[in-house]
Amino acid sequence: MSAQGKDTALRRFLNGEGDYAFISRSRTWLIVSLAIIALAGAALLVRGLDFAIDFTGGTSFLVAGATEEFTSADLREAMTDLGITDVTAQVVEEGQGALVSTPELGEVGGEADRAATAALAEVTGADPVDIDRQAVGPRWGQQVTDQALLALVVFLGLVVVYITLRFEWRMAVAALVTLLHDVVVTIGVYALVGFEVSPASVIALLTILGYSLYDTVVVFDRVTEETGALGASENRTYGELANGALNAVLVRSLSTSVTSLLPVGALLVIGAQLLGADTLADLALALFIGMGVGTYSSIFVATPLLVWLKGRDPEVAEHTERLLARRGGSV
Amino acid sequence: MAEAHATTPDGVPVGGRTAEGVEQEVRPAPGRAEIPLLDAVRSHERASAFIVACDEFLDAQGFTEHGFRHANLVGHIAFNVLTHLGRDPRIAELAAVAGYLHDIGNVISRADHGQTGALIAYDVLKELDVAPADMALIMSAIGNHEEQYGQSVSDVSAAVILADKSDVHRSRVRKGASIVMDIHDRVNYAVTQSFLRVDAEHHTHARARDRHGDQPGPRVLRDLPRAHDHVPPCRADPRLPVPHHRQRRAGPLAMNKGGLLAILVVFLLAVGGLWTTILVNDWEPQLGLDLQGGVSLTLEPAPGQGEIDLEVLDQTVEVIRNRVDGLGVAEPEIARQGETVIVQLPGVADQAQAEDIVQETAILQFRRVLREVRPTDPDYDEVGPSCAELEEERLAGPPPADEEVVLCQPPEAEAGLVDDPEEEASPTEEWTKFELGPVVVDGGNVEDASARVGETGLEWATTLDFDAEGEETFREFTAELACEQGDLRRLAIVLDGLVESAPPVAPEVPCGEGIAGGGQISVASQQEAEDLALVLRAGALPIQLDLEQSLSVSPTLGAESLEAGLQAGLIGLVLVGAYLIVLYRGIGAAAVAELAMFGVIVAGALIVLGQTIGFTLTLAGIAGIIVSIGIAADSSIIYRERYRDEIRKGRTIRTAAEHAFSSAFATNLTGNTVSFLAAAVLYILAVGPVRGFAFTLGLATLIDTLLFATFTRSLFGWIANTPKLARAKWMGLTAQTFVSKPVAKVQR
Repeated sequence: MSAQGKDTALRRFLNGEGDYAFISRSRTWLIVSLAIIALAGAALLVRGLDFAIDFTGGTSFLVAGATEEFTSADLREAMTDLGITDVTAQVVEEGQGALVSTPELGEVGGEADRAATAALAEVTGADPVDIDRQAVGPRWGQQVTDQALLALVVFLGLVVVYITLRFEWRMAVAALVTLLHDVVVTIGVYALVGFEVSPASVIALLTILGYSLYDTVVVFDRVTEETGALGASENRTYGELANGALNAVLVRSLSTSVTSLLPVGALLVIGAQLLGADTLADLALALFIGMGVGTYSSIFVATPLLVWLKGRDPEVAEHTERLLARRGGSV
Repeated sequence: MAEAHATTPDGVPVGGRTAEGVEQEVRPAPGRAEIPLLDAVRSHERASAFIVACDEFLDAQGFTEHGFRHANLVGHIAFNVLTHLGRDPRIAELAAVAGYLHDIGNVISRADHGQTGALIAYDVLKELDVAPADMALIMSAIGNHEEQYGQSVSDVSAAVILADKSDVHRSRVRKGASIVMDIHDRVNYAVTQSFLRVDAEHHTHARARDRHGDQPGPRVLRDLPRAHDHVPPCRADPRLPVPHHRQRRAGPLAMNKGGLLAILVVFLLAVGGLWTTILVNDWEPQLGLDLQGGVSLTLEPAPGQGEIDLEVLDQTVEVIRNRVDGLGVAEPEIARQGETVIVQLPGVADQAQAEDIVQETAILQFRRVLREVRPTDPDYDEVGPSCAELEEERLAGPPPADEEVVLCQPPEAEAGLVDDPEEEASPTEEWTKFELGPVVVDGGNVEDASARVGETGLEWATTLDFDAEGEETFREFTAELACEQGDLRRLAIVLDGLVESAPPVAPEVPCGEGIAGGGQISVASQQEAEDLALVLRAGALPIQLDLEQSLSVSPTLGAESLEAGLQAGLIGLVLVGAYLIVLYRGIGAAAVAELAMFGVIVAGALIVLGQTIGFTLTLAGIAGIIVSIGIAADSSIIYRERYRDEIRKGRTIRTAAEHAFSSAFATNLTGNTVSFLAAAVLYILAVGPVRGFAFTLGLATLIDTLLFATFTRSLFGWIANTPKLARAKWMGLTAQTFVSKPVAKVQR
């Protein structure tokens, strides 16, 4: 009949006219979140994290332009001959290339590194110059991690201050808890699936924090707006107003997630096909997981938690009680 | 709310709601909170309780909805009507209060609720200390609003009647009510859209639509002129005084079409200028090593050297730079980040050679001085090659140990021993030349060096400890020198082919005995003594550096990575664009233009920064940009969602666009502050690839906010201000394109 099209639940949802009860089902979300966190924690305990050589120290070789026939067993054997154990070797690019990684081989750029390069060149028949070697000393990995942790702590401190000033401390607390939730879940996924943790994963994790906060802040911005006029004449409780705010920003939250995930997904697919461009794929993977989690938590964790915290504010509690009493009396 | 005098093309109501269910509950939107007296009344506990009770009693009697929603709506419409007609703001405020309280008499009885309501209102207003004359206006308006005996006795009264009667909508029908029974229910049920149009120049029109048609319902008001969607704003009519407060309430950041266009033009010119500069100068982005291939080395001070003096570390970096220069790499980048030294050698394929150059210890030599040739000496040019040539030779390797050589000493080295990287090197023509004998002792023989107060207690000296062989050789050497006079009494300390210092053997050293138990070099100051000790002790770099990371990327892989990154970015943009268009139609396409502009500016900024501050784009940086696409799209989405909210509140397209900008921009600022904080902290504190990522992310965040305030705002605003575009269905700005129709089963 007109451009409006059929009236369906989907259309209502897309038009932002859905009215979903988020807050009143807080208990459900709490159970879901706790279950996910428990799962993540268990995965972390049982399987642990697989740290890349950037953290543990070690050397990885990327051989290109191989001219001889070889198998991964040949590669391992060549390494064993040099007294190098605990080697992973992989033939790639249809026998034209190889990926070999070893634990730390003495000094970075030292004799052992050179000997390994030469041995690989012999096995594969590649020009030694075509063998890209990435050697990392253990101290460097430690430093990357330490600095990242320091950055994290400083960032969280600043964010708490900012949100407290811009909104209020309860929102800062809720945002912080939400953030921790996202980090634990993302790390849990890494442990569960066995993805390698590289510096790129750390970058991604930090970005996720930024994203998760960004999302939470946008929701809180709206909650603040909707609940700003909480006074005697307001006939809805804080929780109901917050639920209204969530519904109001629901389409935005989901659309933003979709538009964020689309480029990251493209990065993931393209990066994964590319040999050696680990940075891209690693980043994309962590981002993909983290953003998904961040969207979930801004709706199902942050705001319910905030409403719960607000319920402990005597003023809000009294308002809610009065309203409920008024409604109860009128039945 | 104050703007709700005009209508959207498809008839979104003045201060009302559109389709069913949209405004069943009226929220205290912030824009409405600017009628002080109304706010006071709304906060009045007894009045609030009465309105709640009214609604319950009327419900019990089977009447339509008469709660806060109706009260608020009528109050605001009454206010808007008078405001739009240019009435005194105070009068409009009274109308708002009268509208809000008009049905309060229902708490006593439906019969004559106007009159009882007027008395209840009197009570409330008295408590609020309202002036008697104002009270009279409000009370008369309430007392005369019922249709049975209703009389328009004043402007306030007329506005309340209009507002009250225009609140006709299906959503007012109670659940379970039978529309066969009651005329109110029947009328209300029939209406799915209603609005009140107040035309300042002509008449007052009410317009209703029946639920089937998009046509105005002729049965309700036949002499309705053709609906024109662009109601002239009151301020355009010179006959009407513009109430002062109305001007401010057109949105805190209101701007007219001309202003918007001006921003748009200036913005496009600026972007054009940026790119013209880039194209004219043929600038290209500075690609990081992982994108063009090469070797990257990360060095850290070796443990056990105590506190690292950053100044000394800088000197170390300088020494490495000199050596790398000898490699002939096009644009090597040697930088210190904290205590980490990063050496990037683009285009270098031989990883082992690069590692050697950086790790190689500097060559320290002690030589006999044969003659010092100063630039002022007449035969300066004849002695040996020029210092410029020697500089080039020096980079190829240390001067031959067993030959007599000519080497140079820059004046800086003489004065301060080690080069200060901040100071520009003096021209090589001003350097002093030395004719030197073969190497007597070299750095390999030095075990330790330290600064201490000299024997006289008045001067500083650097003492040297040699190993057994070195000690004997050095003693013999100085024994010979002690027998000489003038230049021949001097020994030259040569580091990496440059004469660092050429002190004479002290006069008190007896000829033939030499200096036993290590050497001692007298210098002018403590600083100098310590600097020299450092150089001698390390036998190499002032600070011992260990290679912590060595990474080689082949140029092919680099090119593939770049291509992959660009592809991913492009695909991401296309997908996001498609999503936005599906969701928002024409205005979604405008969002795509915003995204494209975002890409153009980010790319331009990265190129310019590459040229000006030497920013290099790495793979991690590209990842940062791709992530920021989401942030940029979010700004567009927030704006559009806000716009839809404003339309649902009943604003016109133009004012909705303005108000949506104000609130969306505030949200954008808050969100981007957090993102920018994250990027800044990461950039300052993190090491390695994280910094490249943080830089582009932070930059993109800034550009996003800038873009929002200029391009996004003016493009959206301009479209909203151009009726032809704004009213087109494909643009997706009109309410009917995104407000759902009622669910079919409710009709049965």
